[in-house]
Amino acid sequence: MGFGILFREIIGLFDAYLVLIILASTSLGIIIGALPGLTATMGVALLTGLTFGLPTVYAIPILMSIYVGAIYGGSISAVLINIPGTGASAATALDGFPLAQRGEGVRALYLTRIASFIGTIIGLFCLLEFAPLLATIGERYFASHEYFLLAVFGVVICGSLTALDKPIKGWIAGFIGLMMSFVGIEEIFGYPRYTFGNPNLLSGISFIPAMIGIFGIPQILNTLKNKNPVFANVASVSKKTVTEKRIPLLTILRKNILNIVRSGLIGVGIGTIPGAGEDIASWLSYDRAKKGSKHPEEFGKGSYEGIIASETGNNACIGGAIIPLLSLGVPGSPPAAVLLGALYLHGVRPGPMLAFENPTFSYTMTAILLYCAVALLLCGFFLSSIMAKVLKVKPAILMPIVGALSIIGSYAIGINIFDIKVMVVCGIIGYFLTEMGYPPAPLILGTILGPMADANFRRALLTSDGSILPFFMRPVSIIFVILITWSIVSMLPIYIKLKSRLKKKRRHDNENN
Amino acid sequence: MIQDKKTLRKCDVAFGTFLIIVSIVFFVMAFKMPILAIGRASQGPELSTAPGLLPMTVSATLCALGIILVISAWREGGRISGKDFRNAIAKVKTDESKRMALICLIIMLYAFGLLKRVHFSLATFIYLSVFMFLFKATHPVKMIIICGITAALIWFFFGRVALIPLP
Repeated sequence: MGFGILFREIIGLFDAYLVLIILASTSLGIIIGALPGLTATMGVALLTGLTFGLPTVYAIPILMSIYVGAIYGGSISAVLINIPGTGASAATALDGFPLAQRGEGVRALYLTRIASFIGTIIGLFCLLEFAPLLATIGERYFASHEYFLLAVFGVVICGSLTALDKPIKGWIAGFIGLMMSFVGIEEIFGYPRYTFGNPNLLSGISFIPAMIGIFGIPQILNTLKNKNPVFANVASVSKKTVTEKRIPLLTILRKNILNIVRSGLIGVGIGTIPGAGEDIASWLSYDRAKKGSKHPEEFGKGSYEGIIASETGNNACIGGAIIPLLSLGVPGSPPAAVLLGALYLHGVRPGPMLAFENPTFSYTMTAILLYCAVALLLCGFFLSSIMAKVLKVKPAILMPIVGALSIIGSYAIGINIFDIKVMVVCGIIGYFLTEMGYPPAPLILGTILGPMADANFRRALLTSDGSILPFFMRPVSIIFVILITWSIVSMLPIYIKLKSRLKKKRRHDNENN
Repeated sequence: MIQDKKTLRKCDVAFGTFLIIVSIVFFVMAFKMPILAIGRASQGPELSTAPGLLPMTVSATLCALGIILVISAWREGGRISGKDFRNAIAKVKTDESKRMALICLIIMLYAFGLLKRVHFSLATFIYLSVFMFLFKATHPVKMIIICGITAALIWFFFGRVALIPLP
C-alpha cells in the first residue's frame, strides 16, 4: 500500500521546475558539504532563511536537497584533501585520502558517491516502512508522560553521544537549550517567563536565528582567527587521480553487499536516536565494518570497505533522522532539527497527528528523498571533478559571504532586527561554549524540545492530580526512564572503570583457563 | 576546542561557577512565578501546572551539574590562581583575539549600523569589501568584482526571488 502512495507522490512531484530546483540545491549542498567550515546543519539553517518566502512545495525539497547533498559532499574533500567537509565524513578521510594518494582518487570518489546513494535509498525504504509504524505507536501509546520523557531522553542521549570532552558537558549544553526555550510566553497560561521586560522576548528566542548563530558565527571565527587561513592544499592530489578511468566498481560493490546493508541499518538506527546524527552513524558503521572485515589491517591505509561503510552509514542516517521527526516531532540529527524548525515555519506540524492532518506528507518526504538521492548521483558525477578547483576558494572570501547570509537569513524569518541580535549573541555564546568543549547539537535539541517537555510535563501532572508515579508506572514511560538512567549511568566514570576492570578480569580468567 | 587539558579544566571551574550562579538566579525567578488555576477552579491553583515548575527543575539540575563540573575539574587540576587572570588578560591581547574582535565588530557594524541606514545592496557591498580588505582576501580589483556580484546576488535572491522585504 505504501509503495502505491509513494509512486503516486513521485509522479505527482515530477515537475521540470522542481527537478531543476532539486538538482541546483543538491549541487549547492554538495559544495557546502565539501567546503571545510560549512556544515550540513549550517547549510540547511542558512537556506531556511532564504526559502522562507517560497511556497512549501519548493522550500522543503530545497532544504532536503541541501541536507542530502551536504552529507555526501563532505566525502569529496575527505578524499581529495584529507579534510572532511563535514563531521559525518571524518571516517571517510581515513581511507579515502590514502586511496587518492596511491592514484585511486576517482575510484574512491565513485565509491563514496554510490555508497551515499545506496545509503540514502536504504534510509528512504526504512522511512517508508517505519515512519507510519512509529506514528501509530506514538498515537496509541504516547501521552503527555511519554512525550516529556522522550524530550528528556533526547537531550540526555544527544548530550552523551555528542560530548566533545566529557558527557556532563553535553548534558549541560542540552539543559541550557531547555532553559533558552523557556523564554517567552508559556503555552498553558500565557504567562511571560524570563522576558526581563523586553517585548521582543515575549514570543521567545527565535529558533532559526539562534541556530544560524550557534553554527555560523563560530565557524567564521574559527576559520579566520589564524593569520593565514587556508582550507587545504589541493595540490597534494595529483591530476592523474582525478582523471583515471578504469574502475572495477561492480566487483567492489558485490564484495561489499553485507557491509552496505549493515552500515545502512546502523545509519538508520543511529538516525532514529534523537540528536545523534550522521557523525556518529558514520563512525559506528566504520567501526563495525572494520570488526567484521576479513582484512581489518587495510583500514586506515586505503580500504574500500572503510569508505563504503562510512558513506553508506552517514547517508542512511538521513532517512533514519526523518523517521522520529515526522512520526513523533523529535529530530534525529542536528540538520533534521533545523528541518523541523523549517517545517513549523511552513505550517507543517510533525508528530503522530500528522498522519491525520496530512496523511500523505511522509510519502511526499520519501519521494523528495528519492529525488535527492538521484540528484546526488548526477550532480556528484559532475561536481566531484571540479570540486578540486572550488576547494581552492580562500576562507577570507567565503567567510564574509557566510556572515552576510547568516545576518540576512536570521532577519528574513521574522523581518525583525532583534533576530539579528539573537543570532549574533547566540553565535558568540556558541563560540565560547564550543571552545570549552560543549557540543552545539544538544543545545539546539534542548531549544527545540523545551516547549514540548514543558507543556507535556505539566499536562501529565495535571492528569494525574500532581502525582509523578505515572512517569514510572506506564509501560512506555518505564522504557524511557530505563533508557535515560542507562544513558547517564553508562557515561559515569565509576561505571566505565568497573566495566574495564571486569573486562580485564574476564580476559585474565580466559588466559588462565 | 581548547587543547591544553589544564587550561580546559580551569575554564570548566570558571564556567561551572558561572553556571551555578546563573542557575540559582533563574531558579529564584522561576520560584517567584505565580501558581495559577486552570479549568478546575473549584480545586484552586495547583503547583503541578505552575509556569515556573519545569524552569525550576531544569535550573536546579543545571546548578547540580555545575557543582559536579566544578568539583571534577578542580580534582583534575583546574585550580585558578591570580596568575591565570594575568594570562587571560595577556590572551585577550594576542593577534588571534584581536582578529576575532575585529570580525565581531565588522559583523555588528554591518548588522546594526549599515543595514536600515544605507540601501541593502550598498551596505552588503561595503561590509564585504571592508571584511575582505582587512583580511587581505585577494587582489583589490578582483575583490571589488566579487563583492559587487555577491551583494547583487544576495539582493536578487532574497529580495526578488524569495520576496523578503530587505532592511
